[in-house]
Amino acid sequence: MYRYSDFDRAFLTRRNQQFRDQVARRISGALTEDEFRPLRLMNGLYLQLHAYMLRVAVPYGALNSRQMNALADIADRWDEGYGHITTRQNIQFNWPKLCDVPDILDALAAVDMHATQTSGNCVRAVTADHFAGAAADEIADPRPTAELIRQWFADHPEFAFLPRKFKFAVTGSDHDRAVIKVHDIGLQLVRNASGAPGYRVLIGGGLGRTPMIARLIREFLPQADLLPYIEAVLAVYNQIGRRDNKYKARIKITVHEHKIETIRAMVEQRFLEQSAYFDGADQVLLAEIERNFTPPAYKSSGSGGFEATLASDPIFRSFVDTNTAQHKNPDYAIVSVSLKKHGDTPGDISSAQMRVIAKLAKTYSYDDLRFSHEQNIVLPHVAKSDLKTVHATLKEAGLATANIGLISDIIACPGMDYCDLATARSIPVAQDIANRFDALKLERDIGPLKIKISGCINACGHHHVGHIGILGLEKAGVESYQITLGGDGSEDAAIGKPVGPGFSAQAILPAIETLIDTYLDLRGDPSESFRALFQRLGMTPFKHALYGQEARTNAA
Amino acid sequence: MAQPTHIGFQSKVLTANDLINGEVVYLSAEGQWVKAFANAKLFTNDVAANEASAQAETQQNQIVSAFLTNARIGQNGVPEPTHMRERFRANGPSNRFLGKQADAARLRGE
Repeated sequence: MYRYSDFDRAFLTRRNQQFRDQVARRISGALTEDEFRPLRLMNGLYLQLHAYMLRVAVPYGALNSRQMNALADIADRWDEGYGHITTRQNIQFNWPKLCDVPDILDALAAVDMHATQTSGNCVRAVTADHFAGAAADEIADPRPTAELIRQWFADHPEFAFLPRKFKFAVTGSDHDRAVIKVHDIGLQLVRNASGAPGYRVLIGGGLGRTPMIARLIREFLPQADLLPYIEAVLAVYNQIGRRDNKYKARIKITVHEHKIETIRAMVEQRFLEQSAYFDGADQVLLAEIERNFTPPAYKSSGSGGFEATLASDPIFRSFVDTNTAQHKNPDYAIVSVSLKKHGDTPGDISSAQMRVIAKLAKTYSYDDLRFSHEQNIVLPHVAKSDLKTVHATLKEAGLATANIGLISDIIACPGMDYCDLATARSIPVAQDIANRFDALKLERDIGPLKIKISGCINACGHHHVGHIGILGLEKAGVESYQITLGGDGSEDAAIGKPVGPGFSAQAILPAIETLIDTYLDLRGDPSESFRALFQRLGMTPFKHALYGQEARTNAA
Repeated sequence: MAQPTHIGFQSKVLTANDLINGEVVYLSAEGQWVKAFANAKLFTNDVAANEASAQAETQQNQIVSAFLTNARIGQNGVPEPTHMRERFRANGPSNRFLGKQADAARLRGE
C-alpha cells in the first residue's frame, strides 16, 4: 500500500498545526462560527444532530493493521468505542468533542491518515474497487491511479472552490464494484487493441435529487494523458458549472444542460492546452506510486485441506459461499467481513472488532484490509489454507455473518438517528428487514439482492441504485418511505423508479415482504435473481402486489 | 396540541449545540443553556423569541447555530418537542443508547 514520504508527513503536520490554532481561536471566541465552519469542514469536521462528527479519509478504502488499530484507539479514547464505515469507503466518528479534534488529527497523522477533503466543494476522497489488486477478473490495479489523483488534487489551488463537491471512482475490472457510473468522474482501467494501458472515462454521473448515469466522454485515454485530461474536465466544470443554484451545481447538471458533445469538445480543447504543462513528472510520480502496490509474495502451500473442511463443516461452507470471492491466485480467496449482523447498525464496528480485523489482516492478509462502499470490510489476500482459522476468529468476534450480497447486506445512511440533513431514519428500517428475513430463514433462498436505504433525497445510502431502493422522507411530520425498483450499481447501472406512493414506518417492512413474496412466486427457477426477474417482468406485478385491494390499507 | 397565547403564534424554545461537545442545548428561563428540553423556556410570543434569538448570536463562544423550534406543554406540564427531528435531538439516536437518553439514565442512577 502507499507509504507516506517525508513531504507528505511535513504537509500533514503543518496542516494539523494550523487547525489546532484555528480550533483554539474558535474556542476563545476570536473566530465566529461563520468564519470557522469552512475551516472545520476542510478538515472533515461536521456538526450533526447530537454532536460533532469527524469524517476520516480512507483513500480508496485501503488501510493496514497499524492504521486500523489507531482508529480503534481513537474510538476508545475520544469517542464512544465504535466507528461507522460509509459509502465513501471512509470512517466516521459520531461523538468527538471540538477540543479533542486536534489531538485526534495528530493521532491520525501518526499513522499517515487525515481527514482533509472529506467535505467541501473540492475533489473528495477517491474511491476504488475494494477488491483492487486481488480480484481474479482484474485487468489492472486501480489503486495507483486513485493514489495519483488523491495526491494531485490534495490542496490543488485551482480546484479548491469548485461549484460543488467532486467525486472520483476507479475500477480495474469490467465487472464494476466501484459504482463508477454514478460518480462525477468514473475511470475504468483498460487496454487498447495494441495492449497499451489507459482509461475509459465517464463523467456526469451522480445520485442525490437528480440521479444520472454517467456519460462516456472518452473511450480510450492513454495512461500518460490522465492528469491533463481530468484537469481539463475540472477546468471546464469550474468555468461553466452553475454556482447560482446549489441543486444544479454538480457536473451531472452541467453535462445534462450543455450536452455531452459540447462538453467533450470543450474538454478536448482545454486538454490540448493543459497537456503543454505536463512534462512527464506525473508519470514518474505514478511509477513511484506503483512501486508501493507490488503484489504480495504469495505462499504456494496449496489449499491445505480447504476442500475437505468445506465438505464437512456446513457453517464454514455457508460463509465461504457468500463471503469469499475469487482471487487471482487460485490458492487464495478474498474475504468480505460483513458489518451487517442481523439487527446491528449497517457499517458500525466496535473498537474491539477493529482490533480483531487488524490482527487478522496482519497475520493472514499481508497487512492489507479495505473498507468497501457497501459498508463491509475486505481481507483481500487470505490463503485458502488459512480460511478456516480466519472464519473461527471472525465468529468469536461476532463478525462471521454469512450474508454478503444477500437481502440483509443493506447499505443504510445514518439517517435521522444522527444526520442533520435527514428527513427520516434509515438504520431501524435496515435492522427490521434484516431481522425479519433472518427469522424467516429465507435469505439464501431469495439469493442475490441489494437493498439500499437513504434517509433523505441526498441519497448517501445509494437508494437509486438498489435493486430495491428505500427513500425516507417526511410527510406531515412523520416518516414516509418511498420504494424504488429497477436500480443497479454495477456495469449495467440503472436508476430505480418509484413504484408508487410511500409507506409509513410501520408499513415499510410488510411492503418489502410483499415484494419478496411476489418475486418468490413469480421467478421461473431459483437461479433467476430479483434483478433478473424485474428486468423480465417490469414494475407491474410488484405494483399490483403492493397497491392491490389487500395492500392498499397499509399504504400511508 | 400547541398552546398559542398570541393568535397564530406557535410556542417555541430556543435551541443550539454546545460549542465544545456539540451537545444539544436549550435556553432556560434563567438565561442558561441547559441540556433538557423540559427545562427550556417556552416562548409564547415572537417578540421575546426573536429577542432571545438575537441575544444568542452574541454567545458564539458558548454555542453553535441557535434556532427557534416549535414546542408545546406536554402532559407532565413541561415543554416538549412537536416534531420528530427535535424528539431525536432531545433524546439521542434510536439505534444506540447514547447521548441525552444515556446521560439521563446515568443521572437516575441506572
